[in-house]
Amino acid sequence: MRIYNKYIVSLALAGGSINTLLAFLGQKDLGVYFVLNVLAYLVITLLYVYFNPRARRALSSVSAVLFAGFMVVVVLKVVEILSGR
Amino acid sequence: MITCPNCGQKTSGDHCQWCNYPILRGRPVERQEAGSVRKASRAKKQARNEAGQSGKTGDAERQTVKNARIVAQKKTKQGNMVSNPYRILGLGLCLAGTIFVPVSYFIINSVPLTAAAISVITLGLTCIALANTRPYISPETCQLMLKTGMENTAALLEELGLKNKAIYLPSTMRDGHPQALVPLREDEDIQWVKEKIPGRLIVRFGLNPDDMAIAVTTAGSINIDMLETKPGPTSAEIEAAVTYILTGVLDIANSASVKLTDARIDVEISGSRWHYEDVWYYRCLGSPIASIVAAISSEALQKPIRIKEESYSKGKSKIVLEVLS
Repeated sequence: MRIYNKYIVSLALAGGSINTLLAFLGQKDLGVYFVLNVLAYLVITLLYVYFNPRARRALSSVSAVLFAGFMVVVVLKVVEILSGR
Repeated sequence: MITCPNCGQKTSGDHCQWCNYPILRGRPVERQEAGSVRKASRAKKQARNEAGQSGKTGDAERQTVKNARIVAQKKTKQGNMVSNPYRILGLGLCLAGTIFVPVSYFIINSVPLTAAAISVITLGLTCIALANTRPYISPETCQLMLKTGMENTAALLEELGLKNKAIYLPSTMRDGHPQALVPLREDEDIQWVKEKIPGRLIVRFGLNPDDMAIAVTTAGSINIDMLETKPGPTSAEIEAAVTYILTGVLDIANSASVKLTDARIDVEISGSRWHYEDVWYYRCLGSPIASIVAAISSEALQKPIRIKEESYSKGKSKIVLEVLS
């Protein structure tokens, strides 16, 4: 289970670092935090290619949910820009 | 006269006069089997008669067994729920995150803290997803099964006094199932038989009548089925397959590097958690890690492979494989 532990620790570290960095930069938009966290999650999950097929299937479903959330945030931002608000 | 099961020629005596294959007489065993079948059917009939006589008692017993099974299943389910650390961690993180999101957003009014709480929920969901992928059988049980198999094979090798290094064969040379051959005598220049080697325990693998071997299934033979695609004959593809099996599926090493040069393959396994020991089984068939590497390499190159050297130093296992032609 060491590979699982490594994966969870790397996700926690990446999420923590991104949130801390954005907080230091004074970012106030929750969408930006969410989008960057989801991106980090997807990249790290993709890097762990050696997971067994069952783990990959399970993580793909979580990734799909997060990607849907990511798309919602992006579409809302695009609509906001296009409508000029 | 009897037909040899190995070469199909008519022969007599304890060994085939053409291929030297040992001839096993089947009659006594068949007779014993027939006897045991008769006994079993008689016992069944008796049990059925007894059950008919005491129908009510049988119903009550059946109900008790059913109830006990349901209770045991419930207990196992509860045990799994509690004993899986990833599930506990995941549920804890999800709960904490769900409580913390509205508190940090509406009461504390902090966007970074809300983002942190969302990250915690994501991490919790990941842990729950991973919890469901843990093996059904505990690692201790798997180790027990493996040790039993290894000790049985070791006993067979020791009894026969076989010390020769095993040759790992690709599935195409066997009956679609990769196995290792332990030759009865050492031979550097093997003239391989053209047809597939039969799926038996004692097999003839060379054109020479003395080229007899014991065919055994090793840890590596079984692991081939776990690969999603068969690796190609390059060192990069072999390395990817070995890393996938050792790191992702079995979790017994951190990484692997493979160098392929002509008839030699150098493999370095770092963070290996199963080392070489100087015991009869390992001397003959190699350690389980070496066996897995040899079986994968043999399948990738479609050639027989022998484990030439195996050593462990400074947290790294070094395995040298010899590609036979």
